[in-house]
Amino acid sequence: MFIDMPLFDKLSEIDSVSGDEKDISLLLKSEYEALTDTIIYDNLGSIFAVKKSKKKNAPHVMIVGHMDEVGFILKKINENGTIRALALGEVKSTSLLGTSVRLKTRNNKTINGMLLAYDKTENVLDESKEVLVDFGFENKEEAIRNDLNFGDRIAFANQSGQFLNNRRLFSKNWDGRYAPLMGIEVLKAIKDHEFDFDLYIGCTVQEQVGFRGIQTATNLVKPDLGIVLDTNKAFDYQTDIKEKNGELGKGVLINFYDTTVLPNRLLLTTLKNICEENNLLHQYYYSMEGSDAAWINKLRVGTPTLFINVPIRNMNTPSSIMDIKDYGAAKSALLLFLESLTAKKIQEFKEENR
Amino acid sequence: MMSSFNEIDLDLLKRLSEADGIGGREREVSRIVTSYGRKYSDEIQYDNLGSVILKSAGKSRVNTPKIMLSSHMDEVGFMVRSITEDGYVNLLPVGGWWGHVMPAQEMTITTANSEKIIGVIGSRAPHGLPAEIKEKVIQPMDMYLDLGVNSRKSVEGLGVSIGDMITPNVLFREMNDSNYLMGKAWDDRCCVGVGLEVLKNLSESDYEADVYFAATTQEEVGIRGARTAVHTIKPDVAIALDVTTATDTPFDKKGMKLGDGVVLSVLDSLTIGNSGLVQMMEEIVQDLSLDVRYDFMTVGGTDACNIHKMMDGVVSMTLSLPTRYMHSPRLIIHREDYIQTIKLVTEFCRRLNLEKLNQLKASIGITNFRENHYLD
Repeated sequence: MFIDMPLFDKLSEIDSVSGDEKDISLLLKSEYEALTDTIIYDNLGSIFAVKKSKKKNAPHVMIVGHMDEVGFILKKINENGTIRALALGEVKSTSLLGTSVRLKTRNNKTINGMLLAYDKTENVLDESKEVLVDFGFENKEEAIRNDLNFGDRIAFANQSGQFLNNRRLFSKNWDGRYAPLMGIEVLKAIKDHEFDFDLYIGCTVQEQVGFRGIQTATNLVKPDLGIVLDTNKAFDYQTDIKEKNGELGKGVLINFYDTTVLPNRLLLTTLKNICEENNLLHQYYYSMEGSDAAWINKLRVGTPTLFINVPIRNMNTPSSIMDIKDYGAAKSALLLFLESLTAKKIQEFKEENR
Repeated sequence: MMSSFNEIDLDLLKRLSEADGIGGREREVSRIVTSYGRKYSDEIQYDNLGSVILKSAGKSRVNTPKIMLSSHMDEVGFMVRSITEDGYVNLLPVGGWWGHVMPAQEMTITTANSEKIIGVIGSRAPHGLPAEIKEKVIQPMDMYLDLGVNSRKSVEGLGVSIGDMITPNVLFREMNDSNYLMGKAWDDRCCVGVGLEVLKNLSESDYEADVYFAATTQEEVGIRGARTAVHTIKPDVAIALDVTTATDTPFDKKGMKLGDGVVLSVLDSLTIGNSGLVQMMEEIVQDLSLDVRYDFMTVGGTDACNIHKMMDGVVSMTLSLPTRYMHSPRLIIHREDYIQTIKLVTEFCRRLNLEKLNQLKASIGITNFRENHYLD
């Protein structure tokens, strides 16, 4: 097994809708504390474990992905006790009717609810990107008595686990858990390693609502090299695809294009060579969406940036699916990349396009 | 508890509303800000885009948190795009305009020498117009200003040149119920008023934090001045003060009424308010017996959208003032909303100290402040 299952279970159980990432941040802090002596934050809540080099003025390497997940925010309590909530992030309208959700009140009480349709034709997400939630309250007063407040986040209820064959895992928030999980596992694996660069491993906030935390995190870390850990949509099973792109079980994604960033070519080649030399499953991928990598790439004086991503099915739905082989290949590739990385190579990546 | 407040100065609001200033031409407004705010501030700074920053120092001299209050000075307006041979002035919109609110409105051209030249936006007589023309909204780029002269030469003789600023010619007016205040440019001049009134209140109180009121530039063209002002101040906490759309007219009865008190913006399309900050505002609302509503504006943003993402992040939220008829020549706000917002912001500035700041950060999981400083 390539994945630390107890850690996966702990991470999956936590809710972290954008802007309310406190709980997962606290869990990350407790894990990081055992593995490093320095933890830093930006002022939006992004968190990093810092592993300093013994060398002075060492370059900064940032390994980062987001820890927030899609969900909803309470904006109205109706007279009949139902709740109107606004979607945060790209929630898929096709997956919502009858979905279990939960809300944690300011006093840390968890309340379970279900998504309702708002009309007779059973639509759930309306034009203003709002949903109707039933928490079982009979009227507005009961909801207020139970400490529901404007701005409370509502997350998909946890449903995570393994399929029968143990090769694939499902979780409500793979997009938002891959980076926290991988980050901790990498920190563990390199605990006693010495590098000639300062390593910042961490997670950002508010990715789902517009790549916000990565901007402040990049200004905090000031990276010389950025590695983004993210999930991409798998196009390998749908009946209407022209070509496969991101197949489950075919390995780590060598993501050479997304709509907001062009990964550094020497970094791409290096990743591909590592995979080939070490028999790691890998596949090319292009994404027609944006990512955190864009901001690492273009803030300040610019930073060479690479993805180490995996494909998932059902992104941003109550249950997404990932293949353990892909995760394993990504983890091995990342560790081998780090072992081979030097300050000199970081400079070469910077000079790649000169 | 400290909670005394000055009477509001209606003449200040009138002057702010009637000053002309589109993006990049905010000088008339910033001069009102500096002349009015000078005696309530310890230091006045500018950034290089023209934002003016009034500092009011708190009494705490070590680890003093910095609060940034931000209101933008620019209004939506136009520039002179071209002048026709027969003496009409074509318009270039600066900021978002809708053709419906423009024809037959008086406008002021401010020339390079600060002369004010009045004209009227041309309109059509309805007589005999085909239905398809009557039903169509004229595009702002297709409209022109009629100065009542007959040649390009006469226009130029008035001192008008390409690029001059054009703004509505509208006077401030207390409405029939004098709580309703009509004027141009309430977006965002009423909040410039809030900032100045807060400084005035603070000048008579004891408080710990350093308060920086930034009257910013170029919000309507892409939230630009807030970026440069942030770097000038480097704040720990920022409150953006901006207007939101009232929805209490026959056009849109959705419940955001004028006069119902302060508006806490939980989120807008570009910013999620820090949850600890929203809760701190709620506490103050309770303690001062203010009225409160919540705003979830899913279209548009405020200065906060760039402030909170600058440097290594700034704890931020927006407080909103509802206005009717946003981005038109005549907007209406309510005196009660203005007064309550001033009280809320004043009290917030009085209460914020290092301990409170740490609570705001802890609300999003930041529980350890080692090595957590932004360095250039």
